[in-house]
Amino acid sequence: MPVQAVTREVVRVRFEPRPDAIELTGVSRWYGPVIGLNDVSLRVGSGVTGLLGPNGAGKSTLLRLVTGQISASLGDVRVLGEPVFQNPNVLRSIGCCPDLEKFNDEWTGRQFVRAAAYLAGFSAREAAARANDLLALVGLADAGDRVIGAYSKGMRQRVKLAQALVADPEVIVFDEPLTGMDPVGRRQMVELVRAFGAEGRTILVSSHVLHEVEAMTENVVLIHHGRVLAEGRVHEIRSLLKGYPHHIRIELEENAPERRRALAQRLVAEADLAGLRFDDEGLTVETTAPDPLFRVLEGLVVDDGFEVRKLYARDDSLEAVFDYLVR
Amino acid sequence: MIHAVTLEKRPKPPGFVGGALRVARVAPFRVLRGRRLLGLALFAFVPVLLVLLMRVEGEPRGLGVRMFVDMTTNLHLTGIFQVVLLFLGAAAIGDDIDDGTILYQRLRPLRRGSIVWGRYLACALSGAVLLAPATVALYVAQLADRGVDALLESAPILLTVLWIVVLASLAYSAVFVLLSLLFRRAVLIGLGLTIGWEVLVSRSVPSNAALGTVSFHLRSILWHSTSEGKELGRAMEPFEEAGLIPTPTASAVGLLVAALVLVTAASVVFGRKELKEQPGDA
Repeated sequence: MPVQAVTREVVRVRFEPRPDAIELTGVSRWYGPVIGLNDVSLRVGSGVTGLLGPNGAGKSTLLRLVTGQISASLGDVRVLGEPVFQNPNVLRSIGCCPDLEKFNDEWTGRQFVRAAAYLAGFSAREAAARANDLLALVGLADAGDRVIGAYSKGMRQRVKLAQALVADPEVIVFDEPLTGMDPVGRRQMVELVRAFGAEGRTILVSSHVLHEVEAMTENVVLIHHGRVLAEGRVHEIRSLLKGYPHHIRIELEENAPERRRALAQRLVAEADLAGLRFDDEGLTVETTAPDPLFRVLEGLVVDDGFEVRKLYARDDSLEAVFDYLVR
Repeated sequence: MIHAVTLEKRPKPPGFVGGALRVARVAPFRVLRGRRLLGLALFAFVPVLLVLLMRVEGEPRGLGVRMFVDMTTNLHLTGIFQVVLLFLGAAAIGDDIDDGTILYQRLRPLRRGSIVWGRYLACALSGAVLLAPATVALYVAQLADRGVDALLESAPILLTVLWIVVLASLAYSAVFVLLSLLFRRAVLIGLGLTIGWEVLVSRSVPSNAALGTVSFHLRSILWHSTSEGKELGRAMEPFEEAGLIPTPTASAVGLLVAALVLVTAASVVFGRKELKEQPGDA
């Protein structure tokens, strides 16, 4: 049974927008001589934010700090305005879906979620009702009485999601939430995460699968070697990378070589290009100023009859930004 | 359906004591399941099985309260209680730390100390629930065929031994819960402690070191409460001559205070403990 479809629902904003629901100020964290995070200052506001970085970048350390599992060696970590380390008042507002494969396998999914709710402060009866509701939400209503040891990876991921949601958290941290899920489950999980963000919750999603994060949000934090390399919307970050010209692909309806050549001549004359390449299908132009180029192209389409079949930026994606910054 | 997540009001986080009781109620005890439970139960019932074996081998009657006290001294207090509580104590929290699943409780709005106290209470309770029936069964096996009067006449001794079961569960659970937080191989270290410290020191040449063992205090409570144990009396003589045997009240209070201190220390250790954190994960 799938995760309940949420896209058809009207999602209501339930939480006041906060620009700094998660706030790290000058945070360093080291393990003996090894630095996990190095002087990180970061604000994460309401909505979905992707936390990206290669293995060993410091993502897990950051998530552990934000969920109060470890304390900072230096600096201050606050969630919803309060220090988070070992602070039950803040932990009640945080849900965490950790990247942990292990469970108490003898428990059923229902027992697991019920225990999570009970420990969050619900009465035993309320906890049982809460577990039923959340198992239905994540599509495990029928499998709730099976032991977790018999669950597939995707089902384990869902039961982890259910335990993260028991206290209706304002801040939710996901660590590799799509691991082991089938394509349908992934899509549903992405929709659910987006819906949570639309409700005004603060969602921090850590993943190394870039296209999945891209499907959830435009807003990212890139982290590498324990430092924040960039944060903001992907396109804004991309536009700041002046050293890497944008590669814009243009394909015309009328794919005659002379038309391509004519278009290239006009672009060279009227736009600020750093490079230009032809091939049999179209042309790729390089520019550090894509917006003026698009305005020129608009004029050529309207005034000179160049009919464009395809137009896209080849390296305006999260993956390209990540490559430029990290690799 | 996303509205299923919505709560009108988030529950208040449980307080320290409330949190500990909640943890105790849901503490998953892997050791109390399946074959390991069967193994521990069999181990706790070894003295009963020995009595039944003796009866099959030709001993026509149970050997009475003196034998009950001797078997309690030489079997229960010299290995069985310790081993059963060692496995329970190590499983109470150490196993979940080793595989990381304790994280699911640390993510809840609970004081870390209340997690330790909850698991400790669950461990002590489980130990008492496992060991008390074994004690009663041994008592019944030794005295049942002497009639109800014999059973009732010696009931105070049974009650004393049951009180010892409670104290042993509280004290050893504290020791082994702390050990499981300090060491990955808590069972091995606990076995070493049981044999090297609890058994040898508590029975060796009379010295103040014996006062630092749990089993010496348990034996001295039993010694004070009964004149029935022949072997117990003989073993305690040198300690009595050296003036080392505390009063039952002093022993009981000492054990309870020691348990309190050890579990508090365990709470501090757990509060600072970082889970499976390798820099490579960072």
